[in-house]
Parts: sequence; C-alpha cells; structure tokens
Amino acid sequence: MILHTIIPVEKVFENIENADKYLKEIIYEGERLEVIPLSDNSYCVQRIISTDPQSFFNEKLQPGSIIKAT
Amino acid sequence: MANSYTEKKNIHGNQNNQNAQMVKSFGQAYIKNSKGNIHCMTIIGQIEGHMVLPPQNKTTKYEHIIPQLVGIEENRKVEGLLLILNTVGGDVEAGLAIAEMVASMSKPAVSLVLGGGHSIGVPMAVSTAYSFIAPSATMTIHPIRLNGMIIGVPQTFEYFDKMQERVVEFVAKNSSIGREKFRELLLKTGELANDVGTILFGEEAVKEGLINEVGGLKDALAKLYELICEKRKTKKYKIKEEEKNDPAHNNTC
Repeated sequence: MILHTIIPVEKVFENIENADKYLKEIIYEGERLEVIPLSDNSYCVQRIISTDPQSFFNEKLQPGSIIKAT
Repeated sequence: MANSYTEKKNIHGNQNNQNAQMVKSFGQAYIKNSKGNIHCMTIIGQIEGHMVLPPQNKTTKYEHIIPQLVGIEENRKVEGLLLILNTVGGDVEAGLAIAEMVASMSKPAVSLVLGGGHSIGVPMAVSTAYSFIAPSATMTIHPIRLNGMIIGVPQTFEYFDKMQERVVEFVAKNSSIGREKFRELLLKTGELANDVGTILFGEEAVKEGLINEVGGLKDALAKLYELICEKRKTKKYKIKEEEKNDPAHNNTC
C-alpha cells in the first residue's frame, strides 16, 4: 500500500491498535450512519453517510443526537 | 399557551415523520428543483483504501464512495454530482479509483476544492468535467513515498516511478496541465520546508492549468446546472411521459 499524503506516516498510523474500535455503521430509517454504540441499545450519531443533500436536514439524525435501535 | 405549543410540536413531528417515511419508501428524498437534481459528495480527511486507519484520522472510505457513485450514475432522478474536496491525501489506489469512477461517469460533475486538496486529492479534483478552487484553498503536489520495509535495489525505485506515473498520467489526461509541467511541480525544491514539491494557492492552481476556475459554492452550482442544461438538450436524454408533470423534470434550464 502506498500512501500519498501530506500527513507524516507515523501520525497516520499512531494508535493503530485502536483502529475500528469505537465507530459502528448502521442503517437507520434508510440512512447509513456512523454511530458510537451506547449502553442501552441506543446510538450516538457521528456522521451521516449520504450524497443526498436532503439527508442532512433530518433533525433526528444530526450529529450528536441519540437514536434508539428498533 | 401550553396547548398551542404542543400543537406546534405535533405538526412539526408529523412533517418529520412524513420526511422520514419518504426516505424510507423511496430510499431518498430528492430536491424538487427545475434546474436539476444534484447529489453532493464530500471527500474529507484521509482517503482510506486497503487498511482501516486508526480513529484519530478522519477518513473518507473507499467502500462508501464507490457504491454511492454507482448509485448516482444509475439513479435517473439524479442529474449531477458536486464533489467537494478538503483532503490531505491518502491511499493512492483508492484515490485513483474514486477519480477514475468520477471521470468515467456519464452525468455532469463539478468539483470544488475548499481548504486543501493535497497529494492524491489532486487527481480527484481534476477528475470532474469542470473544477473550482476557493481563493484561500491550497493544493500540495509532491512525490509518492513508500512506507514500510523495502528492498534497497534499483528496481524498487523503478517500481516507485511507475506508481507515480499513474498519478501524473491521470492528472495530465484530465486537466490542462502538461505531463512535464506537473512532474516539474512534483519535484521542485525550495518550496516546501522539509520536502520536495510545490504548494499551489487557488489562483496559482488555475494559472498552472490544474483547476479550471477560482470560485465558491455559487459558481460551482451555477456551472453544474449549466452542464445539466446542456446534457438535457442532447437527444439522448429522454424523460418518461409520466414524469413530465413533475417540477423536478420539466425541461427548463
């Protein structure tokens, strides 16, 4: 693998043992979300993965909101 | 007072539900805009390819972007793509893959570089039909480096040169900067404190022929709608009869 980036490689790979530990991807109401799982079957929204600009207007899915798993 | 508040809240709640229902049933809620329905893709942080990067990196994942591009190309309701870049670079193969996908799309695409479009962000920025750069944005052009253990033989250098050539070739093909000029910027000394290469500011990137125009969101959208309008005028673009009454599909540009 070749990285072509202005960030030093040691910075990119710092903390590699924690890679992919916290964030989960779920599909909620038809939207793909990147979330942090919380204890009680709910998730904290981190980011909406969509190219549709309208997806980002959904108030329930704003980054930081808590959503319940159904 | 309390009643009207609850009422308001309910109305608001219902609207939200309707929106959510629309998203649920149709997969997406498209913008009803007579100028054209566009989707927007943001490329931020590191371009993540074959390896999952540690959590301190903000990443754009290859496996998210590629299916989205296929979706945009295949969805009849989507007519154009706005590609917004603010990236520090990343995996060469993933970056080139995304760039090749965008370059080979049949739908109009316009890119806008904000903040930075560095390293492998350069081919991605030039992959669209027309590109914009914000006046304050920068693009760093520098050689590819190999990480990890390498065998110290001349062949390694050759391999390396070949890998770099892929980027040079793509950029030269998709922008008006020549191969030689791009290579020259790539290997320039004295510009970067601890590296070989060049930093181009908005205006300079345009002057070198890498980017088409200095501009912002308004300019990028105007150009995209212009390209959509041109595309609609070509005979190949036909709309189904039942969709003609839909405000999103009338042929006014």
